[in-house]
Amino acid sequence: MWIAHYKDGTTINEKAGIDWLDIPKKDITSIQVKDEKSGLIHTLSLKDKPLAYFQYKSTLKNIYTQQEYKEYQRIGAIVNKEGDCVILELNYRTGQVKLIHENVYNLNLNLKLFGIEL
Amino acid sequence: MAQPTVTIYINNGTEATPSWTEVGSTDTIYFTGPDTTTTTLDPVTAPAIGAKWAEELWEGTASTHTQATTFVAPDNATQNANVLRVYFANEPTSTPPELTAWDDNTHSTTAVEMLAGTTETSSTSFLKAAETTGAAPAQNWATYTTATSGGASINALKGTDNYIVCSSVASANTEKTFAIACVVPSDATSGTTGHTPVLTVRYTYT
Repeated sequence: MWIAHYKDGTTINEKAGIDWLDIPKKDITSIQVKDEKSGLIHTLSLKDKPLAYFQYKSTLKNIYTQQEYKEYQRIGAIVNKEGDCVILELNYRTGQVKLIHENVYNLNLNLKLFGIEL
Repeated sequence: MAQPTVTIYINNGTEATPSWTEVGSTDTIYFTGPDTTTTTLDPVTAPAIGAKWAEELWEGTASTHTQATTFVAPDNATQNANVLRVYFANEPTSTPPELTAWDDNTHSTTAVEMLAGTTETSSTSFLKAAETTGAAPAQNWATYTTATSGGASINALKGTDNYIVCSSVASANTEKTFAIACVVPSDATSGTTGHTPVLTVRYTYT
C-alpha cells in the first residue's frame, strides 16, 4: 500500500480506494510503501525535489490455473531529465525492501499513463 | 487499485475468425501428439535422433479438452497470430506484459528438464514463444535452440533468463496474442516428470 505525503501536511493513501493515477502529484514531498504483512512502512524521501514520483505493482498470473501471485510494489522518483530514478521495491513474498537506481526508460514504464513528461 | 482483470484464452476457431476458449482455473495446457481427441490425450513421441516440434496444442482437463486449432509448429509454411490470447479488461498495464515459465508456483526456479533443456536443445528451454499482436510470425520464427538473454519478442521461456516482453503496454480492454511451441528432443526423459512447468504472464498496474 502506498502513502503520499504533501507539502501542506496532508496525506493520501491507497487504503482510501484511490488510484495512484488520480491523485495530485505536484506537491508530494515523500511517498511510502507499507508492508501489509509486517505493518512496516518504508519511506522514499529525497533531499532535492524530484521531477516526478511513480508507483506500480507487479503480479504473475498462471496461464493454467489463472491464479495470481503478487510479486512486488515499487515507489519511485525521477531525479533528472535523463530519466534517472530511485526506486524502493517491496517484495510481497519476503517483505524485503531494496533500493534500486535505474533509468525510467529501462523500466519501459508508460510515462504517458503516469502523466510524466521529461 | 487499478488492476486489470486478466484472462487467458486459446483459439479454437480460425485465424480470420477466432473463437476464444478461456483457460479455466482447473485447466491445463497440453502439448500433444497428432492423435489427441477431445477425450484422450496422445503423448508426443520423441524422435530417435535430433528433435521435433510437438504436433498439437490443447487446453482443458485430462479427460475433456479443446484444441487450439490455429496452433502450428514454427516450421509450418502458414503461421497464425491468433493462438494464445491474454486480455486486459478495464485497466491498462504500467509496463509491457511479459510471458515466461517457471518450475512451479513459487516462480523462483527453472531447473526442470523442460526449462533447463537438454544437449539437443543446447540447454535452452523446450518452450518457445513469439508475440503476435498485430501480425503472425514468419515461418521458422524459432529453432530448437532459440533463446535470447532477457526479454525479446521471440524467445525461449525460462524464468527471468529468457522471456517474451511485449512491444508495448496493454491499454484497457485490449489483448496481447502469442504463438507458442514446444521442442521435443530425442534426449528428453520419457514421461511427464520435469515436463510440467507453469506458464505465467507478468503484468504491472497502479
